[in-house]
Amino acid sequence: MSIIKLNNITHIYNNNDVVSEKALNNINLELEKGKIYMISGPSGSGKSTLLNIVGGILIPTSGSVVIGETEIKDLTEKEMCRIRLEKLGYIYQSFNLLPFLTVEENIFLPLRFRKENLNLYLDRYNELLTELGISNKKQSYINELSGGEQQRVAIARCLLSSPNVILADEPTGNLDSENSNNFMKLLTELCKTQGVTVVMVTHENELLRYADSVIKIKDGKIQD
Amino acid sequence: MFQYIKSNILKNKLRLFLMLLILIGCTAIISLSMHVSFNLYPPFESQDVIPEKDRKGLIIVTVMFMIIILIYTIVNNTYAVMFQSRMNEFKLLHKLGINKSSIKSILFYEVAIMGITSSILGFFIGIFISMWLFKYDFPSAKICYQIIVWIILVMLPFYLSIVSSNFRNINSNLYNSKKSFVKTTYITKRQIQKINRKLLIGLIIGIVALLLPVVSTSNVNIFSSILFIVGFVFGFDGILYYVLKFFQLLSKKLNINFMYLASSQNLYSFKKIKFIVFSFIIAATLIVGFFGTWNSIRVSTDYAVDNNISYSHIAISENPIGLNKDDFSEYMSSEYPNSQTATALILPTVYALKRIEIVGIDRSYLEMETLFLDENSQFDDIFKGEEMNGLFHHDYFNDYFMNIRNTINYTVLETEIEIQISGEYGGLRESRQIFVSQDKLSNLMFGTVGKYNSIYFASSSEEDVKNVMEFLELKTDEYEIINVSDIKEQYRSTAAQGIKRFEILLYSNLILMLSFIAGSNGLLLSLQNRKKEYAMLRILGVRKYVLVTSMIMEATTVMILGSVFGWFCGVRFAKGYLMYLEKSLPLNYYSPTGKLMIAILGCALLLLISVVVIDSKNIKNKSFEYMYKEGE
Repeated sequence: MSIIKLNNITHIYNNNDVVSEKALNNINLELEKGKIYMISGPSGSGKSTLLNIVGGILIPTSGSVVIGETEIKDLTEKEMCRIRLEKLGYIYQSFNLLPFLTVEENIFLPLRFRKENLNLYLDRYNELLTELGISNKKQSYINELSGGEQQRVAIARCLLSSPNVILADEPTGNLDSENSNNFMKLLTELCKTQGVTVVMVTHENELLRYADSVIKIKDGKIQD
Repeated sequence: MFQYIKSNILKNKLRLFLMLLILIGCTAIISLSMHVSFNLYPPFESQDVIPEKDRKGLIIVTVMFMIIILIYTIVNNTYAVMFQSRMNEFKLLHKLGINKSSIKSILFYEVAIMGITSSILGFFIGIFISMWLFKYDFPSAKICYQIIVWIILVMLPFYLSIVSSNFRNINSNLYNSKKSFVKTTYITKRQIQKINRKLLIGLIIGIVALLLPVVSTSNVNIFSSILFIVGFVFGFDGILYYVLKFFQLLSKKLNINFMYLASSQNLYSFKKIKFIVFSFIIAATLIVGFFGTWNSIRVSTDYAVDNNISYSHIAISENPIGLNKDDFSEYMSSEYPNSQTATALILPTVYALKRIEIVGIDRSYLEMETLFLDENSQFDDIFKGEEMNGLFHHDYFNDYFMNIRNTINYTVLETEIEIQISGEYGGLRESRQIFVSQDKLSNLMFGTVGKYNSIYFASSSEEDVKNVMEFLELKTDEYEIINVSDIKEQYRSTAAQGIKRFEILLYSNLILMLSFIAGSNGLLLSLQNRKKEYAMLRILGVRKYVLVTSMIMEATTVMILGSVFGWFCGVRFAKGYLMYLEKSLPLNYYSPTGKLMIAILGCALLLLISVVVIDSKNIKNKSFEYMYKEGE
């Protein structure tokens, strides 16, 4: 059963109206529930653009993105925000945590915006922080953490809000191999137990073994 | 290098335009303030004595200093934020092999272009505004071309020095890619303890300041005002911290997300926000303080003129009037039962244009009405010996600096007399009225105390006055009748003149207030600098309106805190200032609440519109595209 469907997606970046770059060229893709998809390819091939289009962050120049049964172009801003907040989880290598909030506040942020009762999530929150090895950093600000710790906070935030789809851009980029494997095991478990779909951009070939499907991209096109 | 500068200018058109506007505004403020102060006071007649009028001059100097400090802060802040946002660009250039001095040269050229443009435009805008202001209040004002030299000599190096100081930060950061360019701004636990201690001290001082006027009968207003402001400065950090903390807790409790984002951001950027709020406090203090003082003088003067100069005519004789008090009293009560009269000592016309009027007046000025005669009044009761003063019209003393305790010598009726100035009419300083002892003057002039040569008539017609003078056996050529409504107008006009000059000061302060609004560019730029944070929040699913509302909330919090604290300080400032001015005229504090509210709300509205217009572009979808293309 496909949870996200991309039809004939083409995306062009306009650089100050002078130079146009075709980042994606006629992409067709169906993502199924409970599976792990890894997007790999050389730098500048369009991996992150594809991920951002899947997550509704970028609106493609042409083509359609269907999440569930809804075409995202038809969604209002409010509806799109609701989908992002409730169904999608993001783990990015950068730009991912608010410096003015503590670790705890960052992790609870999506739930706070969903107006959830935070007390119900406290146990899971403590478990996650212990698993990720940052339980002693709850009240720290983000710039007091190392790159790896920041990445783990972003992971904890994503996992705590239990999204249907996790979009991850180089999530293990700042982690050591042990933490990388722990993270991948967590993701695999989530896929199996909760039917979460994971779309992940990675450069690390050794992680590809966790994938149910690998999407190879080159020059904006999916390779067979 | 010039090619690089050109392409950078083209690429950052909007940002540089905003920057240019700020610089033009700053230069215009400097130009305007200098022009106002140059025109406000003519060169001093003498270097020996400091004229009393220069008290206002001192205020202008203070205002000028404040403006310079303010503008330094605005420009410095703007450049710091701008350089910070270009840090990656500088790092890249450095990695590509461009040395520090070349990077510095690029910045200097950019700033020089903007500095020259803004200096020229700002100068003319400042002149234009000041001439427009003067058109109504000060038609004799002239353009001071020396200011051009000042502007060019001072402003450009001023901007360049700011760039230089900011470059030091860039310089140290070029070699350190990991550490953030911005120093940590949030407050640590240790700092919270310090804040608590200062808050406690501030509270104690503030309470003492507020209790002083209550428990003490002596005049302690000025001391109390200073103490209050000292207490406030001590407790300011604590008050601000706990207000923000309260908002944060409240928003968490009630799940108000925009307030949560705004208060968390403010708490994190506490030092920056503290500075911005403090700027608004100073602005509000100045506007409430000066505007309140001005309004109080105006209202008090109107009150004094309207209520205390209630007589209609003055009959002045060239010689002391020989009058039998009982006969006069009996005559008045029988012939003019509804009219009231008072006698006074008025020096006769000595020179055609230098008439001296010495009216019987009480030291407090407000008690002038006790001079009026009624059926049972006795002249001796009215004059009250040494308590009585004479009020001089200013024209006579154009050649003198009238300070309290000064002695003035002049000749009248061929007698050389020496007048010791015993008091000064502070509220109408520009009218140069002074008080001397009437008995002393009478003694000096006529060799005896208690003489008079004028009669004040209330509710009388000119015909009545003539009849009375006929009764006193004075021929029409022996006396002169003055219609007091003319004098009243003269007093009011001199008072108004004094106030109008004060009003010009007020304009300077209004501009100062506006410049503080420009100072809110710190806030605007700080919001603008959060592009990535807003993008991240949007990705998480936070709606645009929540972000816009949180920005508005932040700006509103800053404005409200600044205005409320500033209002308190401004009122204390005005009350203290009025006490300082007060000599003979009791000046009460009359708050121009409506006008102040309009001024402050207007500024708040301006800031909020700026926040929405300038920063809402940060949360548009386009900005995500740019950001994630970078990620690619």
